[in-house]
Amino acid sequence: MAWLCQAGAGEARTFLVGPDQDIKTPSAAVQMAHDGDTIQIEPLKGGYFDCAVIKQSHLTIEGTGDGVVLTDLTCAGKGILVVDGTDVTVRNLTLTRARVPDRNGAGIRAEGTDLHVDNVRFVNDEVGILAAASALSRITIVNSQFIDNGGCDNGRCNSALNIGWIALLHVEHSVFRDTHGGDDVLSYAVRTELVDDDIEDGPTGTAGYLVHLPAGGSLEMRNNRLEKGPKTADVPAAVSTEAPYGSRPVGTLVLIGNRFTNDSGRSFDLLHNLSDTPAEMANNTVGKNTTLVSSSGYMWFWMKSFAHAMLARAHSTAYTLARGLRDDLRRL
Amino acid sequence: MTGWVRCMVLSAVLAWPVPVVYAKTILVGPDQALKFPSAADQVAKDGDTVEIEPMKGGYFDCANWHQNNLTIEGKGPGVVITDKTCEGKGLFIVSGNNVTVRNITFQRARVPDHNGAGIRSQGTNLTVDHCRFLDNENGILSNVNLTASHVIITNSEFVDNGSCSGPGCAHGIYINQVALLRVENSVFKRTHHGHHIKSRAAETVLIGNTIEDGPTGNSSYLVDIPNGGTLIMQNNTLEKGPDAENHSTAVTLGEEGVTQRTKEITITNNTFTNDMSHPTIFVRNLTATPAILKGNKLVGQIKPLDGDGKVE
Repeated sequence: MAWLCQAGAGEARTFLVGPDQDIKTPSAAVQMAHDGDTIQIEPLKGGYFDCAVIKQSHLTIEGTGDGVVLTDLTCAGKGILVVDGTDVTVRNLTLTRARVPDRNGAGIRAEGTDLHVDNVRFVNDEVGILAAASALSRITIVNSQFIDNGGCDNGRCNSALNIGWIALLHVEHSVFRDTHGGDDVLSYAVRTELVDDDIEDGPTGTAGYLVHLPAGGSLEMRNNRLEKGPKTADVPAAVSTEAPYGSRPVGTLVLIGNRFTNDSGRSFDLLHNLSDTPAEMANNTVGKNTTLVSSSGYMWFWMKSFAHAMLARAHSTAYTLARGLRDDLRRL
Repeated sequence: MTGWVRCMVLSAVLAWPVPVVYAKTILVGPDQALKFPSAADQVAKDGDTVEIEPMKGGYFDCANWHQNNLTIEGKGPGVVITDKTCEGKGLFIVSGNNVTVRNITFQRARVPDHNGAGIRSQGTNLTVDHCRFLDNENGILSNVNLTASHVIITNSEFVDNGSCSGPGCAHGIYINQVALLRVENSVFKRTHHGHHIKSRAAETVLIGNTIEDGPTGNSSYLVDIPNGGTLIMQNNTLEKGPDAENHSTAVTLGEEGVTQRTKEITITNNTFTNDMSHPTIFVRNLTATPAILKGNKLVGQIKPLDGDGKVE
């Protein structure tokens, strides 16, 4: 029972995983754990070829030191850690080489409510974190790194961070680098907060937007270092906020104390704001060839989204009418 | 003990009749005492060789070989095992370890599960040399979890195998979890519905083979490595034909999800011809291990690589 510390009835327990422990793999510990338990993982040479689906709530899964790696294996066709539980903490791990047949293999696939990610490295995954819509969920990411994620398949590109409609995304003191094809931070959250992060293409990154809010929501960015590199995808801006017809509005839009470096060799906007909400901008620094904020093309963007929405509605109405007509004819 | 007594004891020990087992050769044929391969199966022991003479119309027979280190071979061309299957599995079931099968044609295997095999491999280490597999559901099917096994196939032909009539599909060869699948100088032709080669081996090595649909083959993939694993392909001639049922890809890795480590993907000096009217992909890599494509000749509308890797 060496693996089981503090084994009081009903108390939270700690499971130790390692090459010299009774529990050899993280997934074996996840099988045994209950709500509120902690799983501690020791380093293993070559990494753990393992994945897990975490259904427990209030669980902590953490490396005991540096160099604890989970690699290659994905669960449920989704990712290395698939988190369905509430209030789960993931700490001190490297999650690498996630690939799935759907081409959206994630280091963490977040499907529950409230996830805390601390000091986790996401390296060479299709998506670093892919979070499903979960209206009350808050996802907090601190001290983490997203390196060499993304990639495109038949025109569909993956982002390092792809966050569905949740209440809050907060990313602090984290690094995004060398993302390919997709965006670094793609967020549908009601509120997105980015504080003291490094979000940069570097010499080889081919990312689209560094920060992309395609469907409204509030954005607050403070004291981040941003860079677009020589191999950037063809986007007009580092940060894009968009409120198409029918989406929720952009609530507040605050960019304070950010520093943007344009290494792309062409002109860039720091912020491309396709919404009615005015941006509050203060103390941002931008280098050569860069406009601080632009709303160019907003009316055209809005009209296109309106036309698109009307077409979709007309299509849906026509489909309903046609089905009704078919059913009527069948009854005759 | 005196020298005389010692001498007597030593002589007695040396003269004691110790049973010595010699590997023997067992002959099967229309003019032999054993008329069918399955009769040889009854008398063969570990290490024996079973030699089968040709018979007109082929042997309507099947067998489950439990012996280890057995060699089963046709004496000359035209030794055919046809139609009859054992245990609902196949024509020859090889349950022993280290078995070699040579110079035999396996044809027309059908079972109710629709996975009838020319050879069903159930033991560790199988070598197949100069065999032909014609019109079976699976040419060769291996059991799951033979993790130490090496399956070696050389100089063989797989023609008109494959089926998707059952719950799953049957393939030219379908090798489950083994250590190594090595196929050399062999021909896969006109596979139907299933894949020419499907391998869950930790390492799959394909060298100098011809793997082609031809004008009437309607296979899915030429090579399917569904769970990842090392893949080395050299000097193969590959073709997807006009009736191919899967237009997407010739060679694919990880399409069912990666469940094992992929140490290396090296695809060198192969020729791949796309005879479909659709564009296709030569190698679709769904693992995170970069595929290295080098010196391949691609003819037709072909994207060389989809997924991680580089084309040199």
